[in-house]
Amino acid sequence: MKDIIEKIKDMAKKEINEASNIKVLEELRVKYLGKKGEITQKLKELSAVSAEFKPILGKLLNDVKRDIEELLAFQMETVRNLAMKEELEREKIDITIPGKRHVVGARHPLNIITNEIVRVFSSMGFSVVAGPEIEWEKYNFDMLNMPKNHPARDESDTFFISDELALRTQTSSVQARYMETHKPPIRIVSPGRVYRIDEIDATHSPMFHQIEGLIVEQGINMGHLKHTLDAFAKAFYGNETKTRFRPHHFQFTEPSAEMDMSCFNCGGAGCRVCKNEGWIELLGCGMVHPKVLDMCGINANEYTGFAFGMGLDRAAMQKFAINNLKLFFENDVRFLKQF
Amino acid sequence: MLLSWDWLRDFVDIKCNDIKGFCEAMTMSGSKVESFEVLGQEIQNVVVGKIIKIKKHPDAEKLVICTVDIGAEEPLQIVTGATNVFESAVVPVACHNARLPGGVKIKKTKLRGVQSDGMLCSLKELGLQLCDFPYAQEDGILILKEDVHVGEDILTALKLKDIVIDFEITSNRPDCLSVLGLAREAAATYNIAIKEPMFNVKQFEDVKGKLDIKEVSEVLCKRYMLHEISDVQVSYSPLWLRARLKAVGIRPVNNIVDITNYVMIELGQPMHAFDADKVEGAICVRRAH
Ligand SMILES: [Zn+2]
Repeated sequence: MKDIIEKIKDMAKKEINEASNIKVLEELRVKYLGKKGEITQKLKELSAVSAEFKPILGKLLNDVKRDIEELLAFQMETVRNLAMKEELEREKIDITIPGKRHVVGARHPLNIITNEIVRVFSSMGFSVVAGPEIEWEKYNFDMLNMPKNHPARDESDTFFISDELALRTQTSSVQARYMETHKPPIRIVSPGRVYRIDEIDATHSPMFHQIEGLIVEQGINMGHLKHTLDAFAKAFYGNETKTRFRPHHFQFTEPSAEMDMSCFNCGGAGCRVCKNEGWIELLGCGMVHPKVLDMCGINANEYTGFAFGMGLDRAAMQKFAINNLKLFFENDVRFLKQF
Repeated sequence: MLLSWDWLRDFVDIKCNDIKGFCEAMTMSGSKVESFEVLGQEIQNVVVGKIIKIKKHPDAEKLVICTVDIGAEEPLQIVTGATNVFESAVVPVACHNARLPGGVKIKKTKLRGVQSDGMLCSLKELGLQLCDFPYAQEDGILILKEDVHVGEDILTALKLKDIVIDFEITSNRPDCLSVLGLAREAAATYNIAIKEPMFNVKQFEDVKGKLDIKEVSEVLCKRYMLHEISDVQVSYSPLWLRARLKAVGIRPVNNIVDITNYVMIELGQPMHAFDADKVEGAICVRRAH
């Protein structure tokens, strides 16, 4: 029996020393010291041994057990250290390598302008709605009081996709869409891209941006229109801004007007920005045409409203003193990072 | 829509010396003024002169010395290289310190040793084109056939002085696409009377048999009228008419074309002149496609 115990001890020593990971070591612990482990078995067999040899074998077994335990613990520690060392080696950081710079983007000037305008109108209780850029003819023209063959339709400027579909020529198309599906009170603004056939130059582009506004409620009149838009101009361009309303014409409003504001650059004295007029054309507006309300299913006898539309590109050009519209769409980082 | 201030004043007596104020008032009453241009500003100190005497330049074969009466006490002595000048010719004279289009300044000078008090002007030097003075010789001095007075400022004599105002007319106001239409707007803006044109229409001879109309689409054209004008001599139009057309951006062609354009601009009534000798069959009004 002593020989067998010595063999087990040698075998265990060998296996443990060769073990290279924790899992194997754990298995070896079970193999030798577990409930059914080889050493445990031998300890159980001691009861059958004669009293003469019992203490000697018992001591030997306990010594071997302790040796294996110690060896396991030692090997476990070694393996752990090795694994940690390897891991540290793998994750080694060279703190002398220069850091990678993360370039922070900036808002596009058109988005800055749009957000600022939307914020002003939001504070007056307008909500923002969006409409599709590919639009049915009926929303872009018919329901805005521009029936087929009407000269105001400007079909020669329109990008048609099919007989009935076109790229919208104005954000006003959102008006018709919204009124058709919502009941008054309505108070919305809708910024977005619009398209018209045009040559590209410093002030023109076949794709440009507008923001549309619409209020439909009981008892809305021209006074509300003037106050709202005057308040907007003051909020957006500064409290000293003055406005004036000139009679104009749009198919979907009656009466219609254009609103000028006193030049933000010279205050009205005349300069290059305002072409010496002292005034800058800001937006078109008017009382929603009763026909438009009717076509959208809103009782024109009960409700009135006003609408306005403003070009965003020119406003942004003026605000940031940009002299070429193309810069907005070329997306040259050297330009964009200035904002 | 370009409007001539001079023309407008045929219909409204606006006592307004402030053109900016006028533009502002019209804009705020609904006829938006895009811009205005004061014509003739580039020309200064150019007058009508009459060549009294021409003699050869003593030292230059291609130059002549003209004695020019400009209505002053003393006539001017002007050296020119032009070949179309003659004694008694009435010409534009740029005097000492005159200004011409393109920033040109004229000063007294000596040409080959002979004193020259100014310059006789060609069409081009006055910023004019052959269509403005169809009888002129393009590369020579402008020899005037108009009824002008010696010593008169060339701007008044040739009706080069005017103000042209550019209106943005919205699609709901086609009635404003004429001088008369804008005159109505101006009269309303200033609350003054308008002098409506008087039409003194006599009974005309029926053109049936000579020219016939057929197939006038009533949807496209509510009324189509023909009138025959005979014994016409095609020539250039009088100065006042050419000047007004020119001011509003229409190139004068001849008296027939010009008068149809003139009436259209004045009243907003489109019209066209046909050469009756060249019309075959009846006239037909329909879509072109
Ligand atoms: Zn200014």
